Amino acid sequence: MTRTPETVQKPKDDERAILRRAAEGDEQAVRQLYRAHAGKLHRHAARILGPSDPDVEDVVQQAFIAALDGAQRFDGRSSVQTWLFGIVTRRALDAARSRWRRQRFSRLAEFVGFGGGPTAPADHRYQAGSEAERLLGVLPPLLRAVFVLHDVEGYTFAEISGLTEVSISTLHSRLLAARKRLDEALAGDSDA
Amino acid sequence: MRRVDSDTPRPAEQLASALRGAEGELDDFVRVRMERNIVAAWRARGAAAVPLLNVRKARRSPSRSAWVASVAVSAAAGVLLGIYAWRSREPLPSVSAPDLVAHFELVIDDGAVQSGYIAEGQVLESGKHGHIEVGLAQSRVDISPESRVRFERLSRDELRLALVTGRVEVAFHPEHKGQEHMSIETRAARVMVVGTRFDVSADAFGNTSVSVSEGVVQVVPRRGGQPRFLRAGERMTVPAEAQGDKAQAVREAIEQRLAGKSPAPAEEPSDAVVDAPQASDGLSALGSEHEAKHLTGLDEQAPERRLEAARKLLLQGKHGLARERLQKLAKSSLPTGDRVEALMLIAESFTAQGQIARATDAYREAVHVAPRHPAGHNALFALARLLERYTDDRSAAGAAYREYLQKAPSGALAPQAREALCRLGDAASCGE
Repeated sequence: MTRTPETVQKPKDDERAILRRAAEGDEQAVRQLYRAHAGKLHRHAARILGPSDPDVEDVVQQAFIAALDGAQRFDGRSSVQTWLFGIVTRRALDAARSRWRRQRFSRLAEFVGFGGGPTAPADHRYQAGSEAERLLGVLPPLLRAVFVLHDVEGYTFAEISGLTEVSISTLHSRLLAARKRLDEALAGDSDA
Repeated sequence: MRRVDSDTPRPAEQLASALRGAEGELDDFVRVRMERNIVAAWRARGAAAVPLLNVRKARRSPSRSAWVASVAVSAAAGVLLGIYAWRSREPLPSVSAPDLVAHFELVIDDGAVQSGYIAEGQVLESGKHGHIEVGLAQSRVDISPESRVRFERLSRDELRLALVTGRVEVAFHPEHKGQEHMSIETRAARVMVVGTRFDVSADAFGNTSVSVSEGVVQVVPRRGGQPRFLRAGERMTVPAEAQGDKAQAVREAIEQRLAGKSPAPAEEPSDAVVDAPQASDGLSALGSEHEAKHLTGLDEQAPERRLEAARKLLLQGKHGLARERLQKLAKSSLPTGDRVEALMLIAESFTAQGQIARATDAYREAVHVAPRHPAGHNALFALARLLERYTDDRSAAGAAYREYLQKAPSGALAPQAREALCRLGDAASCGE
């Protein structure tokens, strides 16, 4: 699978220059950087967390601030968009984990029969407008992230490993598991 | 299991293809809101000059054997130990940059919401009907209505808030106890947080009340006295007894009033709450002596200009001269609202100088000038509040609140008046 073409349309030097100016405090450059990438990054965060998830906006905002903060660490080996995708992915997974941690006591309470119930939504609950997005919701965030990055966005395992700091073999097994779950769920859907 | 024909794409591939084609355009409202927040946060931080909060220290993921061992131990030790093991083994992914900015969200009764990021030194005011939720590194701060909080220090190992007035509820759960500190300062005390849930309230004098619902806090009176540890279920009040504190409180109340922030409540709703930067803290922000002289020299000016000039004189501490001019305005043929405003300023000037009896007279005169005017009702409420807070005459305060309710039963301050009556022991007013 090949990378989406738009990442190579912009010369890398321009992107880096905008990023550098933004990091130095040039407000126009901050806006330019945001406008160039906000849509894709928001969609990506929403695919990992769920489009109606209240953390999506926070994740994107924090990712931008973190990118500006760490602009000097951007080495230019990838496009700015790829780099931003990595930050958003890590933060979205952080948010999902953090929620999981926050809800562990209510899950335990529910498990032992004290309260809980349907009020506490599952960590990986995923609400989506489109059918495709809805189907994506059968996956937990970790599998969703690798499926979206590899099969939808077209990143290679090596790139995803760089973005998420997860080993290639783990990514590979997660992708297989994601595909298997989707195949089963979609087959079930069509049988129904 | 269903067999998949090798010529047709697998369902997962079809899904990936559908998702690739999905545009999913970002909603304009969300786009603009996020852009505003990002630019504001970046601007407030001075392009990385200010450290962000909650930079999680990267931890190494535990080895597989450690993970297996922890799972085995948890299974053997039962549910509680399992929770503990789960907590301690959870790896945080290595994150190369800060991951949380202090963020606030203001919610007003009618559902309006304002949100943004907070910089060090910034002041948040909740307003009469507002409620602010602040997300900080390892803590959460809920700012109650009619409260004012300044964020003195926001760093990864120290959070320091100054509660100017009002009430805050705090939940603080540091990731590394002993390395992360949080404190709330009021005029009377400093509340050092160990890792807990508690609330702090401070009135206009700085009288401070601390109540702990979980964990332990240390309360250090600022004017001497032994620090005391408060445990869950305990409550403590630290009075701002020193005259200096009282004078300072009154002075600040006047400054707010003069700056147009009006701590003396107005019948016209004044919810406008915003995150107000530091300017409100200083007298200098409100104009120079030269401007005041210039303004006061022109007696032919419009009433609002003359009132403004008197305000500036008060800001310079020239209470006598200011009151003299305000008296002239109060006795002139100006519109009722302006005359009442002049008398209210006189009352606050006397309050600032500790002359409560004279302040009471000035408020009474304001009520007399406009007995059926909303401005007069405001003056009556301000009188009641003065009596409640500055004198021991609870019955007089109660009578003034009742008079206010009689004159303005549906006034904007009526709920507060009933609340005050309840506070003063009038059971019939409680729960209305």
